[in-house]
Amino acid sequence: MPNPLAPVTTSSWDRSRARHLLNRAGFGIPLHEVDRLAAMSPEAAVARFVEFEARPDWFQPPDFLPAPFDFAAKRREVAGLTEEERKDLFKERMREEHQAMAQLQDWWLDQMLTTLQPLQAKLTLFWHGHFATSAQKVKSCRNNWQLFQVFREKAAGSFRELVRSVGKSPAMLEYLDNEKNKKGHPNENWARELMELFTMGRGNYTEDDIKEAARAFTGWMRVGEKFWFNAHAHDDGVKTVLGRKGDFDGDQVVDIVVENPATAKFVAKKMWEFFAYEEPETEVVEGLARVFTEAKFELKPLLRAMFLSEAFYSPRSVGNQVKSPVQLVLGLLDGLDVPLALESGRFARLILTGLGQDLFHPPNVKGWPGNRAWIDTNTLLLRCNAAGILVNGLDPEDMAGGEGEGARRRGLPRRIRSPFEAMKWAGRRMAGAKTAEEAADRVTEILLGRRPTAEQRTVLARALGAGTGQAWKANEDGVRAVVHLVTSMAEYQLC
Amino acid sequence: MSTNNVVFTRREFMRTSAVVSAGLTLPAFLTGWRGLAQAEEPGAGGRILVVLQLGGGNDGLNTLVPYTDDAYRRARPTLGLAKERVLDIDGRFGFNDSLAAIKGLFDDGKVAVVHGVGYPNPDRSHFRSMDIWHTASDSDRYETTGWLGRYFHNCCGGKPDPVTGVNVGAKMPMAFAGSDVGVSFTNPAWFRWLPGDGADTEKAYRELNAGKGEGTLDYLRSVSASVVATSDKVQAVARKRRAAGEYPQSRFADDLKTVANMILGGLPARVYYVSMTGFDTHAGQAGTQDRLLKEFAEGVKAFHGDLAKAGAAERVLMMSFSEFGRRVEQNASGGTDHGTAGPMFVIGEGALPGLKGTPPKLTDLEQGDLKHTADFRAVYGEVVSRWLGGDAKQVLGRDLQPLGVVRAV
Repeated sequence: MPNPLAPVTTSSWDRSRARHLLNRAGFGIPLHEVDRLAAMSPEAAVARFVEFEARPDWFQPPDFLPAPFDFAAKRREVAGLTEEERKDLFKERMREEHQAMAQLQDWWLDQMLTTLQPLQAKLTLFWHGHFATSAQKVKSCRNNWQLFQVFREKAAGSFRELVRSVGKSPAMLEYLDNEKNKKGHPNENWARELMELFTMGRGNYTEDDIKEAARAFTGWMRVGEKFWFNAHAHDDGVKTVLGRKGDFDGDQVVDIVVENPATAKFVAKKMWEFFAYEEPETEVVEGLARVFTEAKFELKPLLRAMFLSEAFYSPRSVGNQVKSPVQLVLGLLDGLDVPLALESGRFARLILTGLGQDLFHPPNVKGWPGNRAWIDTNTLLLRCNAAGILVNGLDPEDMAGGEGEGARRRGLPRRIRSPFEAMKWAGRRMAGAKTAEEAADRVTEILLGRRPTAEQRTVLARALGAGTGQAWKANEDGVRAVVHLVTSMAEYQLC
Repeated sequence: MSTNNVVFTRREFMRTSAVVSAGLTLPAFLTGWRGLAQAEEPGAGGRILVVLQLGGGNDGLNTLVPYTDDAYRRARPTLGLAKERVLDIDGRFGFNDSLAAIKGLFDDGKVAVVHGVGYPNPDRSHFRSMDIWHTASDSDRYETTGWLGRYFHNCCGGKPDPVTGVNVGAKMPMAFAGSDVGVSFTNPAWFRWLPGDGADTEKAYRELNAGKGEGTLDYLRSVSASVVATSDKVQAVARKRRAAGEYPQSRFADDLKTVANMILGGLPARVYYVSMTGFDTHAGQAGTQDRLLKEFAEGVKAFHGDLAKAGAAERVLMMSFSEFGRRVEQNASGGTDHGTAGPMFVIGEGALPGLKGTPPKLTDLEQGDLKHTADFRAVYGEVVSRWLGGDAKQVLGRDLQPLGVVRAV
C-alpha cells in the first residue's frame, strides 16, 4: 500500500473533498463554505481550520454563571440557620446550578453553530468526550465551564499541558474523586482512568502502576471552584511508575505517562477514529504517532498531517461516518435555515438527550463511543423524527398515546411549533427548479451534498406532488414532505 | 385520498392546535397490524426473561449483609449497617432494609440470591467488567458478541423475530450483539416514523431506506429495515394494554411498566433488558445506595404484582446483576472503591428460592477484595437452559455446575 499519510495533491482537490474537510474538521456548516474551500489549495484549506487563531472570533463567555462560591460568605449566611433552612438554601443553590447548566448547553450549541473557528469547536467537543466528566456528578456550573475553557483554550496546543490542566480542574478532581485521594488512603480512580482512557490505553501498565501513580496524585484537591495542592495529604515517598522510580508528584507522573510510547499511538488512533475512520491501518497510527512525538506532543502538526493525508480523503473515510447527534442537529438547523432561538434551542437539547449526546453529560468516563454506536433502532428512528418535528412541528397529544404520563416525566414537550419556514426556504434553496425531479435534485444536493439515484428521484418527485416531468411549483406541504423525507434517509445520517 | 390531502389534513390539525385523536388518524395503521400481532401470539405465550442491570458496581456487602460477621464490622466501622437496619434471613445474612419489598417476595418463595458471584481474574474497570458480563467472556478475552445475542442466534428455529429481544433504555446493550435481534426504545409511543399515519409519505420513507448499500450506509439500511419491521408491531401491542398496577415514581419503574405492557400486550419478545445506574458509590455511599436499592426493590415488586394480577407472573423471570461488587473496606470518603464479587438476584415463580452458593469469606481476601465463589456464567447457563430452553453450552461455550437457582423446565 502506498503511504496513506502522503499529502493530498492539489489536482485531486475538489468540492467533494472540500465538503469532506468541512464535515470532519468542522460540523459541515455553513454550507456555502464548501465553495470557498474548494477554491483554495488543500494546504490553505486545512490551514483555515488548523490555524484558527489567525481568524478573529466573536467568542463571548457566558454571562449567566452563578456567582462564584464564597466559603466565608456562605458561612456567614448560614450562621444561625436551622438545619431545615440550610437544606433549603442548598436546594435553591442546586436549582440555580441546574438551570445554569441548561443555559450553558444552549450556549455551547449556539457557539458551535455560529463559531468562525469550527476546528477549535470540534476539538473542544472531542476533548469533552475524551476527558469525560458529567454534570450529573459535577453540579457546579462554574466548574463545568472551567473545564470547557481548558478544552477550548488548549484544544490544539500541548497535549501534556492539556492533561495537567484537566487533572487539576475542579470538575475532574470531583468527577474521578482525586479530591479524596490522600496519603495512606489512596483513591485510584483518576490514576486508573488517566492510564486506561486518557493516555496509554489498556494493556500498557499494571495494577501496581495505577496504585503507585495514585500515590503521586495524593493532595491534588480543590476548594470549591479552585485547585488546591494539599501538601499535608500528599505522599512524597518513592514510587515506581512504569519502571521509573522516584519521589514523583502528579506533574511528573503526567510526564512519564505522556512520554510513554503507548500514549502517542493511543492519542493518534483516537483522533483518527474521531475525525476519519475506525480501525486505521498500522501505518496511519504509527506515522501520526511519530509526527506527534517529534512535535513534543504539540497537537497542531498531528492535526495538519491528518487533514492533509490521502487516507483522510479515501473511500474508507468519505461519507462513511455516522454523524454525531450534535453534528446532526447543527446540520439540520443550518440546512433548514432555522435559527437557534429559544424554542428550537430547547428542542435541540431534548433531541440531543434522546439521541444520547447530552452535552456536559457523557454516559460515563469513557465518553461517547461514536460512529455506529450512535445508531440502534431507537436512535435511528428518533433522528428521523427529530427532523420531522423540526420540519412539521409536533403535537404530543397525537403521538404520545397512552404513555403521556411517562413521556412527560422524560421531558417530552407539550407541543412544538415548527420553526421551519418552508416557502422562504424553497424560494432561496430551490429557486429555478421547474419540474418535480429538478426540485428533488436541489433538495438532495443541499442536504446530502449529492444528487439522488434515479429511484430516489422518482420517490421524492412523487412526494413533491407531481408526476414525472410535470411542471412543479413550490407548495408548502410538498416542500415539508420532501425535506422531511430527505432528512429521514439513511444517507442523511452520514458525513 | 391523495397524498396531499392526507398531509394537508394533518397539518390543519396542527395549525389549529386541535387535539388530534389518535383513533382518528391511525385506523388503517392499527387494523392492518392487529391481525399480525395476533397471529404471532403463540410465540408470546412462552417464557420471558427480564434482565435488570445495576450499573456502576453495586456494593454487595450492603445489599445482602453479613451483619453478624465481626470482619464486616471491622471493615465498615461507619458504613456497616446497624442490626436494626437489616432484615434477617438466616441469622447470618439479611437484606438491607431498603430492600424490604424484595424481602416480601423472598418470604413468599419467589427469590433466589446467589452469594459471591464473579469470575476469575476480576477486572475493576467499569467498562471492561461490564463487557465481560455482557459477552460472558473470560477476563483476558475480548468477545464481540453478547451472551443474549448468541442465544438469539441459536433460538427460534434459527429465524428469530427482531423483537425477540427488547431493550427499554437509551442504548442497545452489548449483551444483544451478534444477532439481528434487538429493539431498543425508551417509550414505545416514539417507536414509529412520524407522522406514520399510513400516509403516502410513510411509504416513501420506507422505499427510500430499503435495499443495500456500501459500508456504513449498508449498516444504516439494515437498521432501518429493523425499524420498519418492528415499529408498527410495537405500536399495536403498546396500545392493547395499559399497566393496571400501581407503580412507584421512578424511571426504573416506568421502564418496568413499559415491559409489563409489552408482555401483556403479547409482543413476542423472550428477553427484556432494563437498566439502572448510579451505583458507583466512591463517596457518601449510604444515602445513595439506600435510595437506589429502594427504587430497585419497589419497582420489581410493582412489576411482579402487576404481572401476577394479569396471570402472567409465572411466565416471567427476572435476573439482576452488577458489573462488580465493591471493596470490603470502606474508604476515607464514606464510600467504597471498585471490588469484585457480589450477589445476583433471580426473581419470579421460576426461581428456586433461598440463599444459594457459598458466601465469600471476609477474612480471606485478594487485594482487599472478595474471592468469588460462584461464576456468573453458571447463573446465565441455568437461565438459558432451564428457563429459556436454549443450549447453554452453545451460548456460553462451557458447561458449568448448576447452582440450583432456576426450576427445571
